[in-house]
Amino acid sequence: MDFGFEEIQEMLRKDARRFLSEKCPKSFVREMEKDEKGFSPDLWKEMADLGWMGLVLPEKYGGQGMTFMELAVLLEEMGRACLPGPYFSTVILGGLPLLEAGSDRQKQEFLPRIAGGQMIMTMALLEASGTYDPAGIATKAKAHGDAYLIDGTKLFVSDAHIADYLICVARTGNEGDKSKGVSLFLVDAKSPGVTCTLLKTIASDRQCEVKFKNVSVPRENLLGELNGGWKLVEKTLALAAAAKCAEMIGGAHQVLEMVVSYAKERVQFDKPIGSFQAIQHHCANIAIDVDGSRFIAYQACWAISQGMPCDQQVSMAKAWVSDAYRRVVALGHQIYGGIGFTQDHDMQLYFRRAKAGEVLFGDGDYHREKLARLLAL
Amino acid sequence: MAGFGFTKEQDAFRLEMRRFAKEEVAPTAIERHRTQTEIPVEIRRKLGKMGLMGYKQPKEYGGHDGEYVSLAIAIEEICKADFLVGGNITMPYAAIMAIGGGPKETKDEWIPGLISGEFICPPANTEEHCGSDAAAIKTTAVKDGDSYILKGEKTAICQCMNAHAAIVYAKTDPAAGFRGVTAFLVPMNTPGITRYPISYIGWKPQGLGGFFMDNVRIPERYRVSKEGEGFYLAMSQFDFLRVGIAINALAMAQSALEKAIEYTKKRMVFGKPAASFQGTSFKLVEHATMIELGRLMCYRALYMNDQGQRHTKESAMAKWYCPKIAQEAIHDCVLAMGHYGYTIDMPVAEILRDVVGHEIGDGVAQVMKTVLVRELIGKEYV
Repeated sequence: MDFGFEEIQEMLRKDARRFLSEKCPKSFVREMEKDEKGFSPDLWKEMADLGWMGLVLPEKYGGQGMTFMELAVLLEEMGRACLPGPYFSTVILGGLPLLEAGSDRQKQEFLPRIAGGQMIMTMALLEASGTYDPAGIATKAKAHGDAYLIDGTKLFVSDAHIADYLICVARTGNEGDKSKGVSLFLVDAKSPGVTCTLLKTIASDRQCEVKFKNVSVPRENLLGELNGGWKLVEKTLALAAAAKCAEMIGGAHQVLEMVVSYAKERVQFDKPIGSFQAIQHHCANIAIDVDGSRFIAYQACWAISQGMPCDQQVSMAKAWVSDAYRRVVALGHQIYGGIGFTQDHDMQLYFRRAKAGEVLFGDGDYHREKLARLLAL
Repeated sequence: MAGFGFTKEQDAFRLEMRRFAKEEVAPTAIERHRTQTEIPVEIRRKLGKMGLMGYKQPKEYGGHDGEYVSLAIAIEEICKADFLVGGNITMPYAAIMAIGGGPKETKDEWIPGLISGEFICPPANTEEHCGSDAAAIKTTAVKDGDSYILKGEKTAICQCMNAHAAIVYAKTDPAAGFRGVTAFLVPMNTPGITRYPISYIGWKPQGLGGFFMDNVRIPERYRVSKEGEGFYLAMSQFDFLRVGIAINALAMAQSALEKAIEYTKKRMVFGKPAASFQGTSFKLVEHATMIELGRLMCYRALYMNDQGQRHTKESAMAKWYCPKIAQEAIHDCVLAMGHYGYTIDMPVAEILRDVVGHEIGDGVAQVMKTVLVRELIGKEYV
């Protein structure tokens, strides 16, 4: 049994940390929170040049052929840096389902462009119900000659405002079982009938309402099986939940380092506050949550990278990390006191991202429920 | 209870109860819990003499019209010395309330002895297959002339081994579900009853047990509810009894906390008293805060009871929350005392074991939450 990382992963971590600390300081994060697009095309290009967009894509598509473990390491560093932009949407919600279910032609067409940083993608999944449940898919796609016509409204679609292509999850059949009759389509975001409105979120991540009004999509843009798309959604959600955990532990670890260094510097009653046991125990509790989260998250990521069944590990990880990161930032605020509660302080950046990460791809309760079912309850 | 404080009379009463608990209950408590299976009748008689079982009961039976808030003061103070002596104050109320629905001759026969502490008469609803699902009982009562014939088994009955009688819930109409339940007063010396003891991990002096009823003939005058109304009778007592358990648990926590504070002030570690470490002292004061919060919940529920207001919600909240925070407090008190806390020289570990019973008795937290869902969200969501 080996709980360590491989050399290539350690190198990737080191390079990513150095790159992001230089290119993505907190001043940049704050600037991007106010930016209309919410990301920097120049930085995006540099990340592509480093091979990050194609990290897990096969070499024949311009990728690096690495595994989900390396992707998790990179995401952890991105979470630590609060990197803004559509990396998660493009790679995890776009690239991975394409790699999983795309036809040869689709892979040829899209994956090299993702790897090269020329294409931003996302998945348009959720609707008014706001649940990760097939019954919530009401957007319809009807066959019409050589095309499908898509009609409906999608919500909370990450980065749709800058996406070149959207993977739209739509209903193509209406049998009793709601998980049947769902299909996925690759939709050009510039198609007539697609309108996108930005929603306001507390973490300044970019989520959109996307309306599809009789949007015509060529038949060959069906991704995966007709009516069999929900399985692909489930697989993507599992990978996204694990990937989100990796990003969250990066943030949590950064909070740990920040509060420990603050506890040593900040003097009250003639002593550093880190000499008070109550603060020491807060720091210790954060450290326990950070390490616990890291192990449970990497267990899931490792299972994914090995192609093993991973639903149980993913649900355990997302249930635990969602709650743990929330505890970490709450204690972090306790240690910082008033200063951490100000906009100028970095603590709030992590607090807001912890909340966003907690609810994305299923919160603690959602995954506990799912885990209970996996335990045959 | 005036505003958020107690009246002068209640404060004085608390001091009197504290003195009684310290002088007459505490000295024998540890030994009692290790070796005895009964709260001695002498102690019960003293509780009776102080009127503790007579709140809101008819004067001709020895009762008086005091307020439940004052009763809770007595329970709280006495439970700090011995939670089962305090528990012996609330238990008779279940019987008194039940028998209150029976004919006059039955009330005359039993209620004075319950108020004076002479008689023990626990409620007996639980059966092997059902506890909180009270309507699922299988014991039957069949009318036969001017008697009823009872058949079945009751189990996990508090005070069973020392009881003079029990309030037995049985089905007079098994097809009618909870509408077929009727309550009977069943003297334990009636032919056909066989008792057996059960051991809890704690609560030894509670005399836990069960009993079989093999064609037990009970005269009609001992039917204490109307036929089919026993379930409502049982349910109507819970609002009162649940608060009693809640405040009982808090009193145990308070006594553990007092012991832990005393200990950690004396105990030296790394050259300083343990109480001067925030890791220890902050935990203790956090628990003191939670206990205070729990007390407010209990006293408010009882105040509402005194005002004749419905308080099902308040008592269910107190019943799940208070034993939980009491258990957490006692647990941390044991830890604050380290190895000594875990020895039987310091009876805090013993009440940690005992307070688990408070979490269970009269419905575990999950059952209280179903009550609350019914109250706050709607019965169709339970």
